[in-house]
Amino acid sequence: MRAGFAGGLALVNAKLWAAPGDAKLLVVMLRGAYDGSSLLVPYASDFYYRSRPSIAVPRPDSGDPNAAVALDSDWALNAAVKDSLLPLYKNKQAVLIPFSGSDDLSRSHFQAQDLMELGQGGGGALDYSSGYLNRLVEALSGSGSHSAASFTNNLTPVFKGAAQVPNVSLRGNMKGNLPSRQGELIASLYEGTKLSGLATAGMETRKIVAEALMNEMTESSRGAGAAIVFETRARAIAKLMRDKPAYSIGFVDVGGWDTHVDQGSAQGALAANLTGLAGGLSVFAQELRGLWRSTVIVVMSEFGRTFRENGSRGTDHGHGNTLWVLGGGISGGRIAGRQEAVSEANLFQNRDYQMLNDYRSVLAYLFARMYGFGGAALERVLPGAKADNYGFI
Amino acid sequence: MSEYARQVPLLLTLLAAVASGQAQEISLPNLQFLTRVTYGVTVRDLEALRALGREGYLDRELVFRGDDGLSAEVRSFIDALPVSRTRSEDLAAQLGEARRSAQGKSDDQKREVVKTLRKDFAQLDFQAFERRTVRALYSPHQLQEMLTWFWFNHFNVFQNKKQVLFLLPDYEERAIRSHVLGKFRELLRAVLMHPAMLVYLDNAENARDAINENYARELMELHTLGVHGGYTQSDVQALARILTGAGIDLSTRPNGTFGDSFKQGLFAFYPNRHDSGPKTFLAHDFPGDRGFSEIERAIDILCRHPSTARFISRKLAVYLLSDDPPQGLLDRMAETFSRTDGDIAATLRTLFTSREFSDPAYAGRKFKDPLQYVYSSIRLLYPEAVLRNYRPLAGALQQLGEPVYSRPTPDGYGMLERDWASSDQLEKRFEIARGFAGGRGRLFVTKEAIDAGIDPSQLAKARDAHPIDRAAIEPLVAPLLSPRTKDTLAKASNPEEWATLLLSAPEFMYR
Repeated sequence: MRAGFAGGLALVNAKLWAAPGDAKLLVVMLRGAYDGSSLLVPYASDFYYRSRPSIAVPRPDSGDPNAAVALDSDWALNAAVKDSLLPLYKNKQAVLIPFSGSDDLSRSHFQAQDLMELGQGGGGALDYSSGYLNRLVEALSGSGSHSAASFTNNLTPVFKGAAQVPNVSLRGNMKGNLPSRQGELIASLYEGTKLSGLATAGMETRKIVAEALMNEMTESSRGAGAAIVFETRARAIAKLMRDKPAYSIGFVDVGGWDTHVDQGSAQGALAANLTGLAGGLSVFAQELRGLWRSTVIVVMSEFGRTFRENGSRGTDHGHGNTLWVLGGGISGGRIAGRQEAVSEANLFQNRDYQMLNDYRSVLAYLFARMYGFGGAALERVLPGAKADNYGFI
Repeated sequence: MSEYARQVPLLLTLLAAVASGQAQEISLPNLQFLTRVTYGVTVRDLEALRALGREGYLDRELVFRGDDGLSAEVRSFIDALPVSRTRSEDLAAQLGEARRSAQGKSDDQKREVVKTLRKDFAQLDFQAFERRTVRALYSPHQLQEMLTWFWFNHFNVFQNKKQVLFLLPDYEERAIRSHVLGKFRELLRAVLMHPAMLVYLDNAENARDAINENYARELMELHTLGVHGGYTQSDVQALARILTGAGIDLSTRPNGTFGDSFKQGLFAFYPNRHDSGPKTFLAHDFPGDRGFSEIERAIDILCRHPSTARFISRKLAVYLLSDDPPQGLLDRMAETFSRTDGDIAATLRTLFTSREFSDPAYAGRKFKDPLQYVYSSIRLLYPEAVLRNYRPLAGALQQLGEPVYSRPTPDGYGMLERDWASSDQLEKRFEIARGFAGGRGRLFVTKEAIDAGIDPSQLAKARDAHPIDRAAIEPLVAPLLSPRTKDTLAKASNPEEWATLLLSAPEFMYR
């Protein structure tokens, strides 16, 4: 297995897309720490198969109908995503970055998710004053028509901050029933209060969404929404981002990844979640039509899971994980970032994947290339982060 | 004479006083106090506070009162719920019976059997929600009902995980509710020994040589010490080993000791699955023991740890006082918690009698979570007439992102303004306010009647029977409203619109 990057890390302000307003970004947060080792399978590692006697995904050449699909001599994809992520990868529209994540060591879902949404590095206390996507909106405020929407039940830390970002839960009835007279009276109730912006944005967003999704069925699942019903949400998000240029930066979360028990391998609970997630994202790509060429999706999770399976055919909280970048215009079809051999000796704390590719360095690289950010803008959005060259844009 | 009938003359007197312009009798400090220790202030709460004084009121409310003070109507509603007459042992037996009867049948048939049973179980969970809701809406002992939510949320379980579905009503009733004002250790122990928690956080699977860390980690991170409470990954692994053997037994075996194991309800401890090797947990040596005593000792260590005193005190203060409670108060609460060996009522008394709790600067600053928003809306508009249909409330909670018993993750729902104040949330609250006011007919007919295709005239009749009583409502909110809100309310063209605006007002989003 190779290590390191293609070349020097000096980034020119090379933009991927001609017009600054073109680029669209969707960040997908997998809450609960998904098991990257079951998605991107290190099939050349005997240690992987020894560590996971009941949940390893079978080798590509094993003749097993559930066998993983080889991507290169080291890595294979879970067959659960062979109709969704695999075609994207083959069309060079998907990049996978193993050994990635944050340097959080709490192994607490909630601490690590917040850290990642705030865009912080590990170590210090969490600063909830702003999330990195909010800072991104701020940094882009001078260029083009970039603004954002959170496709979540509530506004989570990633979008907290100075820029006002509406959220759209995509839950229940999309149609608003409030007569305009009452809407006006309610707006006047809020005039001059600190919630004023939220109240009016809420009513305006409802109108926009109702119009864009007039006949759309919306999912009725609970909480962050199981990945299994993700497709309906993904379709609605694509329509909103496609038809409402105002929503050029989006965020959505998907729950159900905390697989401590019976996670399965190419079949089972985790595989079903992966199928739902990757299937939803391919639908998203299709629904965007021509705009897919200038769109990037980043999929990440707060940390990875233990490399070895636990006592219940599941996995416990770990460290490094595999991050995805999808996009119609990227140079994909590759495994990117720093790597090292998958072996017992290389495990972090003798239990987890190392973290060699900081999620912030991936985001910094992406923002530099997508938006032409120089050092000052990057410093505003991701203070202290270094944009490594991942070579896919 | 029922509790309700006894209250009526008192209410009438008070309402008459209110209507005749004596609204100034409602003091702002009393209103601000009660707004934070109830699910919404009613005339009855004000009257109790006035009669007992703040100290007397706290004396009354800091003791668990069960269903004392519920009207005969509410009591019979609760008694009529099948969940009130169902033991989880019987449900486990039903499940076992169904599995046996499905033996030899096709996989499809087996799935069908399980599906049908899970539907029944889900109905029982809905009844648990109804039971919890009528208590929250109509019990004079509001604090214990608020704490039932708080502690359930602190020790959250998710109804759709495996057997939690049928274990949940018993968990809420017996592990949580009866301990909400007792000793923290008793509460923690009841939770640890409840099969709902053991299934939810996978400890039922945790065994010697087959370790599962899930419960051990959350027990420290979320239930006791807090994420910065001073434990390490090796403490997580040690506690996971200590917790091995604590599991469930869904068989029909009676309670008692069976060779090495013991069973209590659906809880069981299996010494053969317990890792009896030596361990070091939070700097304490565990030489190794086959018994449940290791778990008892770990509970002691966790409950007496200063991080737990701080973590629990802070969480209570965040729930009841402020998103950012002052450190001095937190120190005093933690001191009480430690001094009283984790007495929840005593810790709360330190909070409620503090200078900070009476400081107007802290009043009206807590953004209501969806449940508080929904319950306080109903208590304000319809304080006396008992609802017939609780589905619209569950629907509102689903819409607002706090679906009943459906938080999948063990952290529970958030309690901070930043967790809930979003554009989507506010807009949905406006829609829901409109439904509670204009669509109130649905609250006062049964869900069965609605499912059977109710005649619109029946709905209209239910609606007319429960008018918006503006004269009774106004005095309860007037002291809290800004001049701007009052001016806007004055523009309402009818009582429904007035109520919609009132429940949509920024002041009503806070408590």
